[in-house]
Amino acid sequence: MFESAILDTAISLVLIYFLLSTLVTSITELWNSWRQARGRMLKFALDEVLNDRHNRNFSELLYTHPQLDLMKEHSGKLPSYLGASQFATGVMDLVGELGDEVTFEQDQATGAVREVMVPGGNNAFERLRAGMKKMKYGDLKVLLQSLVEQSSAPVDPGDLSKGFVPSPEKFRSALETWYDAYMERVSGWYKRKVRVTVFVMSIIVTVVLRVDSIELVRAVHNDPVLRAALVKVAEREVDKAEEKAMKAARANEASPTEAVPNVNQWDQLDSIRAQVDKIRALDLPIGWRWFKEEKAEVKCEKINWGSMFLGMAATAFALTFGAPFWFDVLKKLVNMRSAGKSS
Amino acid sequence: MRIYNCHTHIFNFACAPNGFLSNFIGRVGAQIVGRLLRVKWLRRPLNWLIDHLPFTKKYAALVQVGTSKSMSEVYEGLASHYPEGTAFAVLTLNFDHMAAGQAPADFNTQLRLVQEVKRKYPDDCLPFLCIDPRAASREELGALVERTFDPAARSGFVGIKLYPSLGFFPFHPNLEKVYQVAEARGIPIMSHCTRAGVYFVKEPMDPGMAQPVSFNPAPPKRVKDRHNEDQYRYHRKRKNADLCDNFLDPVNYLAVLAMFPRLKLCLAHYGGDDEMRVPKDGVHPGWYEIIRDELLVKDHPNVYTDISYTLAYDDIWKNIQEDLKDPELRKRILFGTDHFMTLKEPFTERQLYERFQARLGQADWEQISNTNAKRYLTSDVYAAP
Repeated sequence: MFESAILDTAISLVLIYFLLSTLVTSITELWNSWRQARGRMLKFALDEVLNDRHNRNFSELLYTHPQLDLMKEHSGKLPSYLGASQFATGVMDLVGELGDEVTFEQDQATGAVREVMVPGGNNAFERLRAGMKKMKYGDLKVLLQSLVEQSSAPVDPGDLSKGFVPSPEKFRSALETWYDAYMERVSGWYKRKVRVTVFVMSIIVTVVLRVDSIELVRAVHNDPVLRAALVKVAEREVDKAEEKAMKAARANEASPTEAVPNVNQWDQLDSIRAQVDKIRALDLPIGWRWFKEEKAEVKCEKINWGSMFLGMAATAFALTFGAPFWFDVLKKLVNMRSAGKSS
Repeated sequence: MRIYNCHTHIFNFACAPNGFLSNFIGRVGAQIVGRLLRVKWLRRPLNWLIDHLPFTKKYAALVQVGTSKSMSEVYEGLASHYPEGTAFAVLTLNFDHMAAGQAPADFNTQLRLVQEVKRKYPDDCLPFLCIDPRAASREELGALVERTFDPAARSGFVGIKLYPSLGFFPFHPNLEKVYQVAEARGIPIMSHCTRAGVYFVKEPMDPGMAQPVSFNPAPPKRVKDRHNEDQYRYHRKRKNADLCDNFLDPVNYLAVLAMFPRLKLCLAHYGGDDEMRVPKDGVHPGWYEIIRDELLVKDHPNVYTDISYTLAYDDIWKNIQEDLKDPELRKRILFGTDHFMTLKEPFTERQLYERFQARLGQADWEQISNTNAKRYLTSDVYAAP
C-alpha cells in the first residue's frame, strides 16, 4: 500500500516544493541582505522611539554615537543588530548630554579656544536625570520618566511619606527590559515583512520557472521512471538537508534583536546557483522552454491557460509555506513510505 | 598668516529634507533622488549613475559627500585642503520651514552634530547659528540670540546665519530683536545673497508670505520703490524660484540698515557670478552693483560681502580684483568658498582657493582671507586671533 503511486507522487511533489522553497529562501535572504532589511528595520524601530520632534532626533544621534557607529562595516552600511545594553548606554549618554554644560573659553592672550565641559551629574544616571529635566515634554520623556518611577523604591518602606529614591541599576535594567520587549514586537514586524517578501519571491520563482503544480502532478503520476527518480532524491535529501534547511530559515527570519553570522552575498549567490542546478538536474516538466517544446509536439492539444494559471497559483501559494514546512512534510512522507516498506 | 574661510557648510544630507536638491535637479527629480538616496543600499548604484550620466556628473561629488559622510568627516575633508590652523566659519542651515519635508536630523539635531565638531576642533571651527524668523516668536528669538551670544555663556557660536530664500524677508518683524542684539554685540551675520541655492519649495506660495512686511515702519524710499516693481507682484502662477529671489534682493537690507546702521552684515556670494556677468545698462543695477555701490559704502561701515562660490569662475575674477583696488571696498570683501556646494565644480577645495590666491597676489589675499575676516568675525563673544 505504501509503495503506491499516489504516495510517491505526493513525495515527488513535496520534494519539488521543498527544493523550490529553499531557492525562494536563498533569494529572499540575498534580497534582504542587499536591501539591509534587518538594518533598516532596526533604524525604523529606533526612529519610532527616539526621533523626538520636541527635542532632538536621538535616533540619528545614536547612529553617530561610537556605540553604534563603530559597529558599521562602512559608513553606508546600517548595523543590523543593537543589544539592550548598548541601547541603554547610548540613550543614557545622549539624553544626559542635554544636562551637560559645554562652553568654549578663549584665552585672551593667545586667542586659543578650549572646551570646558561640566557634566550634569557624577554618573550616567545623574547625567540622564539632569538631561531629562531639560527635555521638553514628549513621548520619550514620558517613557524615561515612567522607567525612573518604576525603578524607584521608598526611602523608608515603613513610611511612604518620606518619598522614593530611584536606583540607577534598576533603571538601567528596566530600560534594557523595555528595549528587549520592544524588540520582540519589532521581530514580529520584521517577520511579517519577510513573509511578504517570501510571497513575492514565490510568485517570481513560480513564474520564471513556470512551475505548474497541476501539470507536475499529472506528469509525475504518469511517468513511473521520473517518479522513482524523484523519490530516490527525496530520500537522499531527507538524510542530508535537515541541518542546512534549518540554518537557512533561521538566518532569514532572525530579527534585529538577534545577532546572526554575517553571510557573504557571494556565498548566497553560489547557494542559489547550486539550488538551480539541483532542480535542473531533476529534469522536471517545468520551465518555459519545456512548455514551448511540449506544446509544439502536441499541436492539436489546446493550451489550457486557466489550468496553467491555477497550477501556478497553487505552486506560488505552496512555496510561501517555506522550506522548513515542506521539509517536515517530506520527512514524514518518506518515513511513512519506509515504515510501510519494512512492515 | 592664518587663513579664515568665512563661508563653509558641513551638514550632510541627513540634515536636509528631500526637497533640498530641488534647485539643483528640479523639484520632481529632487523628491525622487532625495528619497532614493535615503535607501542605503541604493546609494552606491545611484552615486555611480550620477557619476557617469553626463547631465548629473556635475553633482556627483556634492551628492557623494552629502550622502556618505558624517559632519565630522565633511569638516575633516574640508580642513585637509588647508594649512594647519585655518579657521572655518561653519554655517548651519535650518531647513525645517522650507516645506520640503522633514529631514531625518532636524535643526536641533544638526546643532548638536555641529557642536560635536566644535568640541573636536574648538580653535578652528567657528559655527554660525542659523535663524529662521518662523521658528519662534519675536521675543523667543530675541531671547535665544541674547542667550547664545551672551559673552558669559561662551556657547561657541560666533555668528548668525540667515537664508532668506527659504521663505522670509530679511526685515521680517521677528528678526528685529535679533538685529538689535547682533548690532550691540558686534555679532557677524552672514546672509545668503545670490539667486542660486535652495528656496522655499511648496507651490503656490502663500500670498501673505510674499508680502514685504517689515519691522521698519518707515523704510527708505529706495526700498519702497523697489517693492512697487513688477517682480514683487504676487501671482500664484509665479514660480517659487522667482518669488524667493525677492527675499534675497540686496535692496531689502537698506531697510534693515536704516534701523541698525552699525550691524555687521555680510551679503554672501557678492550677489552671484551671474549678476556679475550681466551687461550693465547704467539704469537698472544688478545685485552685484547694488551691493557694491549702495551697501558697501561708508554709511554702512560694517557691511561686507564674500566671494564664496563666485571664486570658482575665473571670468569674473577681474571684477573682484578691480574692486579690491577701491580703498573702501578693499576692507569689505571676505574670503569664503561655500564648501561643500562647490564640489559641483571641477576643482578640489585646494585648487579652488589656490588658483584664486595665485591670481590675486599675496597682499590682496591676506587682506580678504585674514585682515578683513578677523575684523568681521571679532565680536563681544569671539576675538579672531
